[in-house]
Amino acid sequence: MAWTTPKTWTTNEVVTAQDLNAQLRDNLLETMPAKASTNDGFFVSSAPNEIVERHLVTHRVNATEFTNSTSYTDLTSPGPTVTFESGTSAIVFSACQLAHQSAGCQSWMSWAISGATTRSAQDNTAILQDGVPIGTAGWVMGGVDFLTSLTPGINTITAKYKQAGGSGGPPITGSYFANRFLAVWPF
Amino acid sequence: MTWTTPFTAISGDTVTAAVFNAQVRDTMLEMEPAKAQNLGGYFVATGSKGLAERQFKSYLINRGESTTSTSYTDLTVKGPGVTVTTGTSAIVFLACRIEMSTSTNLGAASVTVSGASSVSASDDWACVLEGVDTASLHQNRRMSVHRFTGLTAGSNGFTMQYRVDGGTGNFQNREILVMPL
Repeated sequence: MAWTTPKTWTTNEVVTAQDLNAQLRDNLLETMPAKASTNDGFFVSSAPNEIVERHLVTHRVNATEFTNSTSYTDLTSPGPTVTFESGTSAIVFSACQLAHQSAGCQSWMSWAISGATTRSAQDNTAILQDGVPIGTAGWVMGGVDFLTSLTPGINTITAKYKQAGGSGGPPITGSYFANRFLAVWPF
Repeated sequence: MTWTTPFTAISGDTVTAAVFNAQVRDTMLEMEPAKAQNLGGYFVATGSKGLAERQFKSYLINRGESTTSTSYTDLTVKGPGVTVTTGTSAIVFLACRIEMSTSTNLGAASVTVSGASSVSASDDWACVLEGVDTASLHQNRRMSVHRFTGLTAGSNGFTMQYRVDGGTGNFQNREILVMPL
């Protein structure tokens, strides 16, 4: 079934079963109540005169873990990771508690895309913490980005982490990450 | 066309073309599939029995630029900014990497509204950085979010602006995302 542009009815017109099936049945099957299938779904346009149900996805990893990697990497407990179905766009929200153990060290949280789309973690949309006194609990910070060039289909976003400016191993240098969160709002 | 409250059919009713046009054609034209035009659009109520399709818009400027202005101002490359059709409200997300020349001064990135509405940038919804050790010019990238209400419905422009309360602030990887309602 697909949406049919509602017709203009004329006086004395004979209303056929074909008319009612196209104008009422099939059109109503394209509306939100017919498309609604899962709790918390919301609706977006997937093409002209076409809507689809989407779902917000989230994941949290609370473990406090460390890296001294200067390129984006997984922590001991990878993620958080979310998998979702989308069109070409989605909003990514990220949050994390970041701390470092050496002066001059930067802590970065970003995310990579896999699945229908492939994109490595990038600095320009990352959360970045720098210049906070060492040995403290650090800061809880957030980030947001609107992706507009996704390949429609099933995509996965995985948080990635790095540090810059420090060296060596724990507990002296590098960055710690805790209470790590991702939310994706697909369109 | 407008939404017509569905009528209750009665046995023996004569169903006229006018009734069909109001009850079927015009009502269908107010429903989501008729309103759906843009990939990724979403639907909001514009009042009683009215729907409109809205779209998120965003813009990212990576270029880092500085200011010493203590009142909100544009940088050399203005923005980022987006123009969207809104009702009376919109949710705005902003993110920015901020670096200050002194640890005792703050740098702030906020949003101003223009077009159908006029709202000045304010600290109330800004990303703010202060108190960071300035050795090696530390940078932090963070975000803020605000819901603007009381807008004049129509075409509204949302543009990021910047200020410091002393010293020099550098702002880069500046991003705005607007959800019009």
